[in-house]
Amino acid sequence: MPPQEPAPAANGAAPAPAPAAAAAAAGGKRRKRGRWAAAAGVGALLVALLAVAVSSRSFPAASSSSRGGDCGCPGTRKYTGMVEDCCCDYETVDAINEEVLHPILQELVTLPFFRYFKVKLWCDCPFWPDDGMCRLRDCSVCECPENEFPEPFKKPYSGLSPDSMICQEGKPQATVDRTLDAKVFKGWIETDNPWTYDDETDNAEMTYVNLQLNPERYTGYTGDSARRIWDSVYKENCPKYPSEEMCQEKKALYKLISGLHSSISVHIAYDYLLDESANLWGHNLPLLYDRVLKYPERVQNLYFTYLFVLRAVTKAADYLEQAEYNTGNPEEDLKTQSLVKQLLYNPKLRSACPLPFDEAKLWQGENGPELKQEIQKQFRNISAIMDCVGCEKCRLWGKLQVLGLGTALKILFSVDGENHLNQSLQLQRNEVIALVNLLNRLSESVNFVHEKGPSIEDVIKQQSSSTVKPVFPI
Amino acid sequence: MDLAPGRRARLLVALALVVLVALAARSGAEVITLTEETFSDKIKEKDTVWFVKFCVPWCKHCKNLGTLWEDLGKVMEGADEIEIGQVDCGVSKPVCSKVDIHSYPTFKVFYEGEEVAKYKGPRNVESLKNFVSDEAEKAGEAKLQDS
Repeated sequence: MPPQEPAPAANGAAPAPAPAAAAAAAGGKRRKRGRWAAAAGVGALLVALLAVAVSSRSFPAASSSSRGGDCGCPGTRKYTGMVEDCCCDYETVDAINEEVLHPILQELVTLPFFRYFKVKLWCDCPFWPDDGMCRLRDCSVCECPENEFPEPFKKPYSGLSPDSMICQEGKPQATVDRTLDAKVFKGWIETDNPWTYDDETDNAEMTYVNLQLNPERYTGYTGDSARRIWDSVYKENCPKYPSEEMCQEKKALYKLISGLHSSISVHIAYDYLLDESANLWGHNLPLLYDRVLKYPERVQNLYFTYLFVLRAVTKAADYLEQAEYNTGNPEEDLKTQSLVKQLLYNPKLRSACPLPFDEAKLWQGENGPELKQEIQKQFRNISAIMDCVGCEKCRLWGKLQVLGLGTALKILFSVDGENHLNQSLQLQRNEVIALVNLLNRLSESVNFVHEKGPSIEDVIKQQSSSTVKPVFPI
Repeated sequence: MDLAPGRRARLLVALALVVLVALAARSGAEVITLTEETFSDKIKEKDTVWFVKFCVPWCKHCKNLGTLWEDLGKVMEGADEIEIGQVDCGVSKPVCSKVDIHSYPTFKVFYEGEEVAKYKGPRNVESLKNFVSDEAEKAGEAKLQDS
């Protein structure tokens, strides 16, 4: 399987409010405000509306096999059946994304806990000399003034120290403690993620960023510098011998990177600078087609990555439920806690797609442990490449999403899955922030592809059968 | 025969003034800021190669250069035929549009009013110095052939 052709453009955008035409599209409506905070009367009405909306749609059973031509109109859906190597089908993913995950995530990432991200933006590239440059002002990161960053985030951690955790291992009473201790969250740790390159515990030169003020969108970062990034990322994932068939573990890593790449390209197309002199932003649908939709594998890998990250979030449910979402804004922190619980324990999600990805199937070969180490090293190198991204805002979102993916890998592959208490799972605050923001990015991309894909494909078909070139809707 | 105390003091003051003037002239000449009003005429100066940095204040890659350009200016001071310039594209946008600047920082070499090269190498004084010296040498040779 050849690596995906690198896209010359880099990180895309978080969605601006959709244009009226797009908002009118069926199922395309986005409501960012007032969904959860409402007066009692309005709240009741909202609940009723939600009940109607939900009851009008039934979620397919997770155990159902590929639908094929049995249900629905043949040819209506280009992507149908099980997502490769996953346990849910495309129809289910689109349904639960639209009805459950997307609305929750859209609200969640605007709240104080998930809005601020700590990042090292100015580490030197370890692989080649700095050729960083800016094109649009929009590629600059608007840094958060010190007094805006949540005060609790700045305080030294008060949880378990790494030494304390190390001492517990191997001690006889550790087993006893594990069975007796019902508490999963023990305060935010500051232990480095073994899957990523950045030294998160070293606070020197950290930049605090308000993600809401730095949307992921088109930045004009193109050309050799951007291409080299993706070339390096895919090269890191290629097997040494081209003729060798890729094992399923390396194949999974490739698909994760490809899916992440597709998601970034979708965001670039979603929020594109259509006219620089007029500062006109909008959807670039031809770009969406050329970068993503034209290659079914890229769409498939987008869904794969989404389900992989979703599995990580649901697997860490106990930890995330008990986690401390304290930013010094009591009302909003309570809302955060509530939305996280909805995300983790939504009954429709649990019944429709209980196991988005089955990580137990991996590492079963006799060389499992060595293979895991090798892949972990590859992913660390991929994360190090993020320091070579020349565009500042692309670097920000590249680092966030790679950390989010590294956190997902940590949850699924660096924690004893047999232990129901998830005793050994410990996450950094920044890891959780990255993980949820990544899930939201992927959710937005799946939503946009599902929403726009069919109509764009139809237009392309018409275009190829007619000499008249229709104008793409904006 | 010692100098009279008064005469010695005046001599020292005079020497100090000469040194100060020299320093002032030197520091003023190291990096020249070019604007919409001055850019065109400056890069046409006879027998002079201009090495110009184009930046905008909001770009951190430009800020990240630190004192690189000033350091280069100091190093190049002895070379009469090479001048180090800079343009703030936020202030002098027409200049940057005219010479086709689309990303920051950009480093370009001009000779007799025309662009002759664009720098893409490592951002350190030694590499920049070697690059512009080579370009100046090429420009000189080209001129000899023309004449």
